[in-house]
Amino acid sequence: MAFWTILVKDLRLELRTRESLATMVVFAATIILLFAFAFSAAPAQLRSFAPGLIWITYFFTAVLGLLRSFGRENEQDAYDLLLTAPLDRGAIFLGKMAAFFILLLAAQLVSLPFFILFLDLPLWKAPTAFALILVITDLAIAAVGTLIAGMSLRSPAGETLLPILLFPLLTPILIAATEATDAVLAGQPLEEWDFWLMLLLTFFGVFVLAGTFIFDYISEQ
Amino acid sequence: MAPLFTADHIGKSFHLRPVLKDVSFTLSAGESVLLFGRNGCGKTTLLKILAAIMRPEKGQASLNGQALFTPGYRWRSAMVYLGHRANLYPALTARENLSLSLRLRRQAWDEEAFQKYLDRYGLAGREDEPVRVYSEGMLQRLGLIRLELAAWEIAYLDEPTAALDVDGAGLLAETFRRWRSMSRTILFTSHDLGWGVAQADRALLLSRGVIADDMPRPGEKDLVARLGREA
Repeated sequence: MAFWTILVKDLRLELRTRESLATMVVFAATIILLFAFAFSAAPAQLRSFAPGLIWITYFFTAVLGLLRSFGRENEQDAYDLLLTAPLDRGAIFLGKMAAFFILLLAAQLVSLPFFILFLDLPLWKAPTAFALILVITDLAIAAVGTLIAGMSLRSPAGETLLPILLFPLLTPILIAATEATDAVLAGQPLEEWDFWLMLLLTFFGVFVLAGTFIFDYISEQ
Repeated sequence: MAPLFTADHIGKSFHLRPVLKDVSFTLSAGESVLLFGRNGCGKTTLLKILAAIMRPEKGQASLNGQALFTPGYRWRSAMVYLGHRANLYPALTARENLSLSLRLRRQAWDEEAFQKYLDRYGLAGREDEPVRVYSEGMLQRLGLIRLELAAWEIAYLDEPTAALDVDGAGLLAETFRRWRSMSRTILFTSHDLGWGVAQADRALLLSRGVIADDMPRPGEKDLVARLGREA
């Protein structure tokens, strides 16, 4: 019940303002256009650095979205409304995580055509495999990101603290997502890269459990 | 009569500097108590700890004999908090904000009561506007409607008159009287000591991290003189 209330509230705020989605999509599109026009890479070269480029772009896109998701909680101290409510704070974590996952996925779906169009990436050749990587990586990013943002952005130095805590934890997720995407673009079968999916799922599971149980403690100042 | 609320030896530090050292006091049902003290003495910190927004480093509190600050969450259903700012989402309308607040408390929406309080607080006809277009005073009034609609036994209000005009402050005084007649307990801060003492059964002086004085039915001059002695 509380989970749905938080999820719907976050999505409604985003639909009302479109602040996060617009920032995330514009950022992703800018990076893609910069790469497309600043480097005249041959298709083979492009193919070699494309997986890393995709995930570096979405890494920073996710950070922008997280800053906005928790930043709007601090306007008018609205977050205090959630903290003082008689609800399991694990539901705050899960609701905000689910809303951020949907937002990140939406930003990616809008910006992915830019990758295909301007960088000529054959992502459409294995749409199911790439969609699987996208969804599982986003779940892992949302779980880690929501937990760390929930902890750091309550602090007065939150915007400084967030990247310091978040970047090292997201690095293994980015490596796994990049390796899996590289394998998909090379046409390898699932058995060759399922290890990376397992790693991503492990991150997601561990951080969802951690967030659900410790959000009560870390969300208070 | 056993107190409704008890705070025992509450302590909190920021960057190793103790703001609250050993705060203990009790509140009775239906009592309105003014928490006063100089800037930076820890009034807001104490209210935030009691409202479960901050975690105390030491101490305990209980409401109706039930321990607060425990890992569960049901104890928070008996209390409400209104901070310096109105605790609302600027992009949502007044109706959406208050509906959200009630859903989080698992309370049903009461349109009739909502309309009644909108009218009473002078916000009738503005309920479907996003609250980002509201003035600070209107936000404060909407925050008070949030408290009116909720079910609670104890309220913590931090500077509730700060953004209110004379009419608003008068309205809030009337609201305090009504809440007390319903045996609801109020712990509040106010730098407007004249307004504060008029609403208070007691005044607690917070100074140097402890409750330095507990003054029943004080006058404004008593508070000013007492603050002067603490300087």
